[in-house]
Amino acid sequence: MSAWIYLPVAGNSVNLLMLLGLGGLVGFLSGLFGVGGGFLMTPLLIMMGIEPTIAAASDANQIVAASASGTYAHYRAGSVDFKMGVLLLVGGLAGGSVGVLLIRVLRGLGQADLFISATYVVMLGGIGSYMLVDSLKELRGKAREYVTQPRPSVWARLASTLPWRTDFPRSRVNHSVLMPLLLGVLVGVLSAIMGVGGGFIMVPVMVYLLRMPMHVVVGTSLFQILFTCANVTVLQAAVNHTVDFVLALVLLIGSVLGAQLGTRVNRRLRAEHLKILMAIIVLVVMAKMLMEFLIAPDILVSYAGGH
Amino acid sequence: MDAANKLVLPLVCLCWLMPAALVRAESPLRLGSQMVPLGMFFHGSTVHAHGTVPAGYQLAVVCTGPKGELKLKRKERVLGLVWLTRGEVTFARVPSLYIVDASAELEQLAPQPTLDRLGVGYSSLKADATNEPPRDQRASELFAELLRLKEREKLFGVDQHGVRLQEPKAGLVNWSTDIQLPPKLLPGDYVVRLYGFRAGNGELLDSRLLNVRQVGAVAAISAFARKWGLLYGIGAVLIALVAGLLTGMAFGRGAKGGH
Repeated sequence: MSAWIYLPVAGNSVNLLMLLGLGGLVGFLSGLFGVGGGFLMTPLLIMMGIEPTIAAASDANQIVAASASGTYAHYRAGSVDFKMGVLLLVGGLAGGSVGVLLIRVLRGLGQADLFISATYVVMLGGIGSYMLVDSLKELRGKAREYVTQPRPSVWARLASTLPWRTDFPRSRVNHSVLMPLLLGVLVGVLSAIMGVGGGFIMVPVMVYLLRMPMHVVVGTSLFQILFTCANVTVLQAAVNHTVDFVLALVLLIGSVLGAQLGTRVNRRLRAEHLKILMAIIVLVVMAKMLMEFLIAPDILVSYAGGH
Repeated sequence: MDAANKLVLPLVCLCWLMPAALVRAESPLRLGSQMVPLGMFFHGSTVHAHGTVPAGYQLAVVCTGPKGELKLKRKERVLGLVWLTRGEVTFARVPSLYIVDASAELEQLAPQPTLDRLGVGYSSLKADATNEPPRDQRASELFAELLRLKEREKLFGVDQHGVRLQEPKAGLVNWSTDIQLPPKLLPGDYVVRLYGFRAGNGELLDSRLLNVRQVGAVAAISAFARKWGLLYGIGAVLIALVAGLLTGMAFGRGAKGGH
């Protein structure tokens, strides 16, 4: 059997083993951290010669499989908060629409790309640094932290003023229904602006603003990503014909296996270690983007689309 | 009568077959295959081209894909500091593939205006890409970047010593070349043209159609994705969902659960 496979929609031939390995790696990260992995997979597919629009749409298709696999594993482990997930998802879909409109306005003003790039670097840099510092603090002296911070934070006081409070038993938190809805909108806006699934923004939001336990965060994030990516796949296939199912199929064979492995490793790691690893990955992605902005590209033109 | 028939019939047959054989033997351009199938395991292909031309010609074989408008993102330096995408650049008519194999360096074949008129060499592509409507001023500035992008994908290429000329015999020369088709190849009607150059003048000697077609499962999936996009998308999601859940269940049986 040939090690190369021709992709019918992409119109390109790619190495089968490389695709399987790539799917496995990104699936592993997905199961471990509760992220879709699009921020990693799409650029790597583009580097393999796949056109950006097809890379992004087919990636969304394979993330459906990886997140379904991961969600099921987390569901069995009791670490999916469906109530919280549905509220975040509803907010996220609404926010996504707002973000798309915002980008259209900015494109009209000719400032969209500058805005997107600045958002990327600030968001990734901010989230990554905060997670890293916070997790290291937790590792060094968890007990002292609680003693020295007896007063609720400004965020906690602000959140407590919101109406329609309800219990989220799986996450062992009590919040207003508006909290996950509004945070979902915020993540949806940012996801639309940045053109990514939003897992690596949603995870820190759940940890730090919704105060959910890390293991429940990962399962709930995957549950939400499953629906977001299913929606993207159907829309892209129907409107732009950019989903290459053969590409997605090979990737998903690797990614569902990787997701299972990632989920098992997730269960064995302490929450602080997970946060540190996630922070490092976010900071590495931020550094890579920063380098792309600062170093002159090899070729000044590229195919349109993608993340 | 019978004896005459026995003599005439082979002679008629011989006369009928001989011109075709002669034409085949002296055809300026022949392709090893007129059709390139894009099957599931396609990974680039080589099309052998050969033929016979009068002695004294230098040759260029040009393989061109279908032409179409091409929109690309363009990057610019902003505030002298960061490189950002600053809109699009539109190239009016760009071939999906442009491969030139020649028997000598292009500038030795003919003067530039002659090469441009015949469509031999990158320079000949520039007018189509930048002057045809819709005209984009930046297309001219970024044409060299377009060439670099396409060359990196092996969709454009010029091999100035790709055509092999044999020793002349009876005023004729046999030639051959191998046209390298890259792994990134779209279906369509491609054209292979043979140009002859002598004393600074050039002419089209012959041309052949090269059919690049998707076949088997590749053709079926591609057609389904184009014709029934919504159904294709829903099917892709359902298959991914089932694959993910089945794997989860298969692995779940062995897992302890909880943490």
